[in-house]
Amino acid sequence: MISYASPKFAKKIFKVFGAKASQVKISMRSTQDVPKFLKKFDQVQKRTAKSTLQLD
Amino acid sequence: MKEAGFATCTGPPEFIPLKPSFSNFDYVDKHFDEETAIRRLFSQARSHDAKTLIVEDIKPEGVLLSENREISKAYPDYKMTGLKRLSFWKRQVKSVGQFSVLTSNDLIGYFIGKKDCVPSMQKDDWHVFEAVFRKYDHPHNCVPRQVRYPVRIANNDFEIDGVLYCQQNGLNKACAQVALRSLCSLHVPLGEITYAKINEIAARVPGPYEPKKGLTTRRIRAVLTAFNLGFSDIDYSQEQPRVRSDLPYQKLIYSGIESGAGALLGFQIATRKAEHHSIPFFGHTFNQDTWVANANSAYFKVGEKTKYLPSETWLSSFIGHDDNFGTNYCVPRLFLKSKQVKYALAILLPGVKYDGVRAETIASDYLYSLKKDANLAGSSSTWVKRFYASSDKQEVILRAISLSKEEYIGHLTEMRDWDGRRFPSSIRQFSELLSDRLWMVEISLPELFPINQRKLGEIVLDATKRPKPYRDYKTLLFARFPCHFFFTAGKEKNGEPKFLHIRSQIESHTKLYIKRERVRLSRKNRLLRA
Repeated sequence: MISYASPKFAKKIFKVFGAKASQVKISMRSTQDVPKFLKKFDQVQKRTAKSTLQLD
Repeated sequence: MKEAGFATCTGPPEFIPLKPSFSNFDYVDKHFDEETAIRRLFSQARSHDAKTLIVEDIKPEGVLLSENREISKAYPDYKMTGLKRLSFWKRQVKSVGQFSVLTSNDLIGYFIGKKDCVPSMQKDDWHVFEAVFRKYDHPHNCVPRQVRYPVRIANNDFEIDGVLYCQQNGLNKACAQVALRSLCSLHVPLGEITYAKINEIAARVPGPYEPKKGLTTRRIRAVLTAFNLGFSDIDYSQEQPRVRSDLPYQKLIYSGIESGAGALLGFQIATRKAEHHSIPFFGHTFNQDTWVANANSAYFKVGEKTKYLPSETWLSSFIGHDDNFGTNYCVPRLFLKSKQVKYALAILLPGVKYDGVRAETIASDYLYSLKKDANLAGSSSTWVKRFYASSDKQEVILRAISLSKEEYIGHLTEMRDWDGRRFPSSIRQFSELLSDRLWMVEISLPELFPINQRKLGEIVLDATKRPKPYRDYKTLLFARFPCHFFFTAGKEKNGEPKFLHIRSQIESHTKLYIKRERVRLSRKNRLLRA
């Protein structure tokens, strides 16, 4: 897989789509909702990894 | 090891016409001691309009023999007192001479009934060692992945599509072991999944182990790992009540089902609160007219400023087996109250390192951020304008599907927008720019999604690397909207992501990706597409 950050990538895109890609700047939203959600999910699963719940 | 379905018959098969006055109830009462799960199998056969029942006595070989040896070690007075293969057919057949007209298309399902006797435990009961029955044939009864299981009946080889069902016997297997065998059979050849192997793996986990009492979550994880199956799970019993609403069990279960990997649910039984039952899920029903779609409760709230409508809002029931009651049941999505649910597990397809819940939420972050782009905001596309109108109210629908890059390229190649526009054939070279496994999070809108089953585009993520719990911009590969593609292309000096924008030849909505696999699994070639 070609790294999207490599110069080859833009060339490959041109080959696939037949048009030139333009670089655009987009800042991510300021809210940290998703990173916080992922962190919480990771923490829950770390505790689950030690779980010994019995299922019959 | 020889699959149970291939066990050799020990005598001539019996052909029984199923027209009146044949009674399912009488037959199960007389031959299977009124066993509830076997009644369900006969009812399923009747719902498919079965005309003939073929009954064979069979030898305990392969997987069946392995189980008998395992039980004998634990219970020296054990003896098997019955072993039969019953198959149900759409056509009338009265003798072996007429049998050659039957094909796999005529087969509705089969089950292997086994009677285990342990005098010291006063036990002599029938149970369903395994069964495969066709699902209810309705387009809204969705099972993304079915297996073509091989079975030999009256010395002829057939195949039957479905998901394996197994029942406990209270000796060497309980609900958890049989649920795992069902789920593993979606990915691993049946001859490799013996109870002896499951119990041997489970016993390696430290602590006393009695197979008849089921499995702890640690043992479940050990078994799946030994069969090379990835998973994502939550033990709710250890968590604060808020976790049940922040990470609803339905989302995790759906994530395993919709990608065709399967899911496991552990819950408290209302009448026996100290016990936790477990059942496998592998499908869902879909109701295009579900009213809750417009209700506030339908949102999935990632945080104060991030919510969306998950596609499972239109799902009415999960489809699964309950070893106590039989095959292919629909369990209403909201039937089990969250406080009853103790454990949820989604299996991950090979090579996938995280679940669809994470994929959807990560996609929502990029989706709402990309709205800031001037190319998208100023797009002349009516459909992009409709996306802005809906997303301003956070009424965007997201649906996460795990697929290989070959499947995604196939999807792009077949893609046509509403006016018949398509990608150039060079789109196949796109393969070089994709990781082997992807999460495709489809973007749709109310009214476009449920009845039309179409979408505006997708956010495509690399599924082969577990995402960091912060934005590292390595998970997102690209986003596709009508007329627009956005590719991530590294980071700016200030840490913000760089994007490459390119015009897309697809200018309006396209069909959703609907996964309906039927796979053959064999020991030689782990996965052969049917």
